[in-house]
Amino acid sequence: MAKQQELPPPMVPKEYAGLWIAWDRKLTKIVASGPTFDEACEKAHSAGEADPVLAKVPKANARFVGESA
Amino acid sequence: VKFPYQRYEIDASSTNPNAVLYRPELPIRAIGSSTEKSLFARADTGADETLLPLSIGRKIGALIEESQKSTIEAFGGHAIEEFPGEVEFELAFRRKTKRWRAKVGFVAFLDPINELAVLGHVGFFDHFIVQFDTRGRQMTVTPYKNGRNAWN
Repeated sequence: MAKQQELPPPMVPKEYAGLWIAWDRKLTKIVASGPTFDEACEKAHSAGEADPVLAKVPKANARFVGESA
Repeated sequence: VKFPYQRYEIDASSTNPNAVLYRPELPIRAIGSSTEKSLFARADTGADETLLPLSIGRKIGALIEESQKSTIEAFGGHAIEEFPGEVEFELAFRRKTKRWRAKVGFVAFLDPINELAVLGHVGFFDHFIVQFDTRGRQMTVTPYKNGRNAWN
């Protein structure tokens, strides 16, 4: 399981909007990104992070009030 | 245990001129029969169910009732196709951990850009007491069982 950070995590820059990102286990830096969960995960593995924590970044112009598929 | 909100840089708008979105998301581990993956999922008190992308459910080997597709209604009446299933979750902080088996709706998102993971009433809030501190941008999460704190 991820080691939960005691400080607020770094802000996710807008350049990752709409993508899946992969954090390192300490949740201190973004090690990879991609349009799908799998791609971000594989890139994180290639970058040396064996067990990343994935996150889906909201679209930069979107506000969540419900589901969209 | 307190978990800070996640911060995302977004386009500035009239309702969010600071261009920063704070979201109450938790780093959970989803454990299936094939593998397990960690991901952030939004704690959403407005969600009746816990939802994960179908692609992630298949990847980890979650129990998915693929023959029981149903439709759920999202904001604005938008219809979403989901498959019921179950998955083991883990939430951890330092030496405290909580594992629980949750009923989950696996959503077949048409485009990965719309994928998200949501912790709703069924599958999450029925296992935890959660206090949201919007000003402090953090949430306090306490698992409970039979009225007692149930961190392991």
